[in-house]
Amino acid sequence: MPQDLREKNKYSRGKLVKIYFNNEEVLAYEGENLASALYSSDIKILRYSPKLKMPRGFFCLIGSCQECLLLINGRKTLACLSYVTENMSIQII
Amino acid sequence: MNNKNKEYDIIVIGAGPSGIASAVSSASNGAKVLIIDLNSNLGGQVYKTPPETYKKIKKNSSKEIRMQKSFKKLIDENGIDVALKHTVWQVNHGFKIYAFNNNNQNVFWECKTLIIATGTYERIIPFPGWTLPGVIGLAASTTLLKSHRVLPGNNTVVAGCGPLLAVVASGIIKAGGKVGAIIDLKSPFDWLSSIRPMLSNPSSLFEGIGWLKNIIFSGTPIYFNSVIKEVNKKENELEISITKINPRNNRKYDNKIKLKADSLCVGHGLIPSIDILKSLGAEIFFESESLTWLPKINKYFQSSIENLYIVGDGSGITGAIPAYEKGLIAGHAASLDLEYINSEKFIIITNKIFVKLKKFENFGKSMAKLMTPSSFIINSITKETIVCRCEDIKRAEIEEAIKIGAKEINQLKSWTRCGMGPCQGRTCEDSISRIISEHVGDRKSVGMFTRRFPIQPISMNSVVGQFKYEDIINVEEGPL
Repeated sequence: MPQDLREKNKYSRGKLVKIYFNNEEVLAYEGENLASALYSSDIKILRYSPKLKMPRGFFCLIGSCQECLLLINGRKTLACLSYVTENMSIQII
Repeated sequence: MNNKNKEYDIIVIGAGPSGIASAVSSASNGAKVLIIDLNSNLGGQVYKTPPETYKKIKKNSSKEIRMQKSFKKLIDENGIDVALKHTVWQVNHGFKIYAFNNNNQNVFWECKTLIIATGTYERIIPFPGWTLPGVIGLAASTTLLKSHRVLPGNNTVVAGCGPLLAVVASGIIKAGGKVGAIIDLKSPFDWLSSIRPMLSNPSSLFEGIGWLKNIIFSGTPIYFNSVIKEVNKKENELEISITKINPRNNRKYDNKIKLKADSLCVGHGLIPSIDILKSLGAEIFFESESLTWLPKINKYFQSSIENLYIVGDGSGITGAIPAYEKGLIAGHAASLDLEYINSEKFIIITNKIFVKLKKFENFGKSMAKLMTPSSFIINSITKETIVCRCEDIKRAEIEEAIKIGAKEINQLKSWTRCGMGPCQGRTCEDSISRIISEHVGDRKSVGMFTRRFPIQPISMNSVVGQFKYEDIINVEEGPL
């Protein structure tokens, strides 16, 4: 089990909630950035490239590169601009 | 369906320091102002703070929190309307601004004057393995560290050039993480040459010393004059090979150094974001010092189009502090256009700001120089390296298209599809331009990708909205 990448000693985060990545349960804090929450839980692959089907993860984190585009609660949304809510459903497109 | 909101005197796109300064200065003169940003907080990429749900365990304030509080106060005091979490995807002349929010709802506003303060995005020159998950931008890393409070990895290698190298390495160490190594494209001499301009700006000098102190005390190895040769995924780790470069003749020699890490943060400077301005047809030019395309502006940051201003790093990279002064000037100039202040008052106010701007600008320019990669970096892109991430286009395919006659970037785009994916060329444009210019000479003739609206991907659903079948207008058939 890899060490959680969240910095711990400076901030306490929101409520611990369940979210679902490709139907698998993941624990995350309500209100934290979705891209960073997935990354902290060692979910680094967010899509496969269209032609060569290579794994990709978030890259720019400012809404420019589109590498973190996911189906979030049924809508195509960038994970880097989304924030965790309880029972959020996330699917790879 | 588009929901029309309100009409404003001035709309500012981007709520970083320069956007806020423009909004505040124009609203303080009496103009009715709206400021729009896609993030959920004011402050832009530079003053990023954790989300509201994060609570501080110890009570100490950061520069970012102080800046955000003072921005919020200024916005409130001047009665400026704010539209956060809104992504602008189209701007029409005259001006009409379309944006969608988090729920994919589409809105538009109208204004007499538009001030663009959209900052920059990061330049990352490809190398074999740069598309692997766990390889992220340096600018992305600052957001991860400052805002989300997450480490890029348990053991991170930091690579590229410019002040962000030091910011990210020091940030990781401060947050309790490990930096395996720093791979710097530049030499210690390049860093030393930026100390003199730093003296003009003591607060930045102290900040810089703080970063270096963190790095030196942690005993992090630094490889100067070095680039990443390739990155390979080995089990759960990244294996990073580096190459040293002789700065005198740019010749490479393999020093056979291989580093292991679980994440790699890499970046090669920033590129002004001029998408909206270019889409509107404003004049731009290629600036050979920073190797970027910049808008043609007058002294008061007005573009070649009347009532269209561009401020902050989008008008040329000088950093956050001068960005604020640039914003103030444009805000006052826009107020003068709309007759909220007279020219006498305008000259008195702006003369003072110009003095400050000049002082701060030198520092910003020296930092910008540190973050501009020299032309030899293009050799990091091997034939088999993917250049366009969206469409999986390799350098070899780009070279092939050039060989058979593509002399300009848009021609290359239509022949290979590079730059045609959802990022709309923002990630690969700089690298592709550099590759073409190796063959055809100057970057000016290579050109820029044509910008077309929508400048951000938007779902057809949110443009069209809900409607009944009967509502569809019957268009008469045209004559055959």
